[in-house]
Amino acid sequence: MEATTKTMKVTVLRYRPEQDEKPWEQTFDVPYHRDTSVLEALFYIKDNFEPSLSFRWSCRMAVCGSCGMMVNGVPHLACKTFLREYEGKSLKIEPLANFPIERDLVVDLSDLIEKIERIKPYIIPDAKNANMPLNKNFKQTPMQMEAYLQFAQCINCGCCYAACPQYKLNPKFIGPAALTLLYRYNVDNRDAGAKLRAPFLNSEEGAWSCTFVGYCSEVCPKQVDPSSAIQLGKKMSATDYVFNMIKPEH
Amino acid sequence: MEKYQADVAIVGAGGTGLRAAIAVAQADPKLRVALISKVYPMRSHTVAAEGGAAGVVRDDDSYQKHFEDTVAGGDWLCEQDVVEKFVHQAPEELYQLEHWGCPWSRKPNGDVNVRRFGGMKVPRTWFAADKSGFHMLHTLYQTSVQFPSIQRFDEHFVLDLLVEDGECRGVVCYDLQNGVFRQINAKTVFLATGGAGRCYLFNTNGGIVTGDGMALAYRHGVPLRDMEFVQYHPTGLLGCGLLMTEGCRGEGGVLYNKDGYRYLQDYGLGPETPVGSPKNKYMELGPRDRLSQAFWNESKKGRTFKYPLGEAVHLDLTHLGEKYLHERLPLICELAMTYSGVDPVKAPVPVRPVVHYTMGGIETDGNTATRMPGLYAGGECASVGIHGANRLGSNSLVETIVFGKIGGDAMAEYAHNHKDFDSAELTRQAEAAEKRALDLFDVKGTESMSKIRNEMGQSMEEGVGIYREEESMQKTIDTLKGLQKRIVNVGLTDRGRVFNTEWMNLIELGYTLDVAQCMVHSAINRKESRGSHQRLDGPNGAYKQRDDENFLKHSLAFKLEGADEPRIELSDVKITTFQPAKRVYGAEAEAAEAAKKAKEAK
Amino acid sequence: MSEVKSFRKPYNPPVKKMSWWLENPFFVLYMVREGTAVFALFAVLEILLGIFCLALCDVTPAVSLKGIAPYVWYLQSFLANPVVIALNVLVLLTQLFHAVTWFALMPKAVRVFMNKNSTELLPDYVTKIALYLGLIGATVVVLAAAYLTK
Repeated sequence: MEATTKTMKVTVLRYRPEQDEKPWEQTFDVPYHRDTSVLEALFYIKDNFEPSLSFRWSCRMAVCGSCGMMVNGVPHLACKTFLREYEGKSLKIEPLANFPIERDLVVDLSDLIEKIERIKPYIIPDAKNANMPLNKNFKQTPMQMEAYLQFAQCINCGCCYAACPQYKLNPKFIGPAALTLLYRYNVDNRDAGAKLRAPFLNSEEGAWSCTFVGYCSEVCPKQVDPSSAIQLGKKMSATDYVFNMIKPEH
Repeated sequence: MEKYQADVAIVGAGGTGLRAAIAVAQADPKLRVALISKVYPMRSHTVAAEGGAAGVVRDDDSYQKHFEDTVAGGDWLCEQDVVEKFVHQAPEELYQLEHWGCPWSRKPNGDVNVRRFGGMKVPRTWFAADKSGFHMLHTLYQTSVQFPSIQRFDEHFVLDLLVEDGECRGVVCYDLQNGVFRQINAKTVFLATGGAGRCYLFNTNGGIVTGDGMALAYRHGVPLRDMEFVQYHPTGLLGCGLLMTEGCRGEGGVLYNKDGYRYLQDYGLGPETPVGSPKNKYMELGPRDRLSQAFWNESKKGRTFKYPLGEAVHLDLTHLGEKYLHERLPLICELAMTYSGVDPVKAPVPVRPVVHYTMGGIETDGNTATRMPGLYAGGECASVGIHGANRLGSNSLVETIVFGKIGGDAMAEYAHNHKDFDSAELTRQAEAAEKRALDLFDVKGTESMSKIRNEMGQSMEEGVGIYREEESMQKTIDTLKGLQKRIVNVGLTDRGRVFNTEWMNLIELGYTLDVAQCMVHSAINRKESRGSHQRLDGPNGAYKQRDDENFLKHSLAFKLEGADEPRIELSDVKITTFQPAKRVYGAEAEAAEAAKKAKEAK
Repeated sequence: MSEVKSFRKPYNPPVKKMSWWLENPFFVLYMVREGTAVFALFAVLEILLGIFCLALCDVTPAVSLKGIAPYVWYLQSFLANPVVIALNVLVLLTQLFHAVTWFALMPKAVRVFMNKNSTELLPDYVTKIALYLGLIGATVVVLAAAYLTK
């Protein structure tokens, strides 16, 4: 936690919808020390050079998911990315890829939100558990929790969508975070709603649009491993298909 | 301006707001709920809470014990009838969350597990590893998605309440994405906007915790109660102030000063418990205010570590082992490593007290109703009466769901008994709010927003910190008064309408400044020491003690028409069964308990 | 001012439909991995050609050199051609590359617990070792069959 100060050239992509036809770059000299994060660099720029620079942020501790942006072309959380890692290079900050740019570093995340909400991301209990009294819990052993817990760590930051070439080329793709959340609920032992989520999982825009590039898992700031969830989802989807061929549901 | 009609308008989509929305939706799917938040729901600061949520489940526990822990923890400034209701409803709300998919950590047999927490006699804190708030919030958000009657207004910043005939009948807000104003008429409005930690320079809070709802209610004549009680969490990371959960201490973490001494035993929390065998209400499991005050005293004695970024003590978790730490406290391991470069498995973590929670807030009754008909408030932005002068850890996460439910039910009933509101007056108010907001673009001043913000934060740390004195509080009062004059001269460089964060931050700063004034005025008025409000002054040090005779009362901060400072009044505290006594922990508490049992046996 | 519905004008950066993968080494590697499919296709066509040549052979009333000429051409002219040999070496290398990259990814699709009561997942290396053993085993079997039926 030293406090020695150097400066780094930080370039930020700007865009003001009422004034600009397309985005343009602005460069600043930002002082930093060992612990300065990209987010803190943006604070410095906003407080001292350019008050009109807009960006989303809140918790500063990589748990709210607000500050997803491209740092030197790679999706990152600004609060968890440190200038010291770019020592000797220059820093370029751009809005999250594969989303429309609203204003400076703020993108339109409505597609991400819509998809997360589309796949029925809530416990759909079995009929016999639907009215469990409020003094009783579902039994869930540590092993049953392990089956889904990692996939429940997603902070909805959108970095995986920015990383995914399939989403870039095919915006209809439901995408890593939403498919991971779908899988998370499918394998939670308290849930009985896999059948209702099957149309999303099995569809062309579901797991089958994924070609296992794997970059989403590479950039995920919380190590959720969405590409793993999607491959497991493909297994589930394929098994489902075979089962339905052999034993059609009434 | 586009106008919407809702039955219930909820401002804030964190734990409390979401729970209230779900409660209304379940009470009656035909009620139109407008859920308005300046950020997407999963960004709300509930997400950062770590430790857990308290609810009685063990056989050796009881509602009475939870009640007593809470009232004593609040130094008897709690509304005891509300605390009774709260402890009774806590467990069922926690089970409800479990049914909705919250991944509470479990015992091997599959039942929910509980852990020890500061100030609690018996372990009753439900936890989801050390990301309880994250999991609770995501569970609530994802559950809320299944109710079509909840219409969300994401990234809508509320500018004012609409009040007619003394009743709250809606809000006017700004759509940050489209850059337009929206009027939302509603039969009831629920403020769930969170605390105001951003009044201070160093805090565990996110950027959005700016006291918006508190200021809005205050500006319309609803008093803010007990604002002087600001909680310093004893273990924030040195430098960034990020939270090292109390769960660290619940799992057995210990605090050392620079002499390698567990100093808490010198402050009425001893005797020293063996490392790795924590004992409830002893040492590191004492209440937060006592621990923060101990740090302050150690600092005065020169016994803290001195780092380039400031003073600290050491939180030692090394004896817990890698496997246990990564299973029970994975987030704090990551935080300490990422933001301080320290691996808690191998080395102690430098920590210091940091502003964390606002005990005070919008005055409400036990059903979340304020004294303005139609206006309700819950969660950290409200003072419903359960925390008193100091909040116990894990009481606030459960507060969100208990009072979210109570508030939602209360508002559903109110909505059933009222017709829609719409009038020329409401529209006029909405347009006036629009004009006031747009007029900010025409200010030709040269004041710097960041300077005002930093000066406010610094002044609050100095004057209204862990220990307070008349002189330094008065200095803060004067500074804040000056800042109120200067803030009207901040000129905006950004004239855009889409995601203009400079403009939004300016309005937020106005809210925060109002709340800060309430905090310091309430503090200077309370001439005693109680809970997290500790004074070093008074004639012959009179204010260093608790003064039940004069100050077993709530402080109420009212906005005076035309005045630039709040007026402070006092109000009664409801005491039912638990008479005020000396607030003791550690061995002293055990002795007191034994004496009490002996007396009852006679 | 209040009549305006929206001040938005979102900007959609142009999508480089053909060259998006050139921007990032991770994507280049991915495209090379996917590109091995071209060589797999070549191998398939090559084998189909062999089968076709075999089908063209006339072994009635008895096996004669003239009768099996098409297949002989396949074995001695086509497969012996240096260009074809070079291509087949490339097929071997690319398919090995494909195998290595896929085996590296496969553990992500396998999520089993150590035993009935454990919360520990089967380590990645177990899956990888199993896959490599399978590959080696299959190779040994095929080569042995080829040698024994020479």
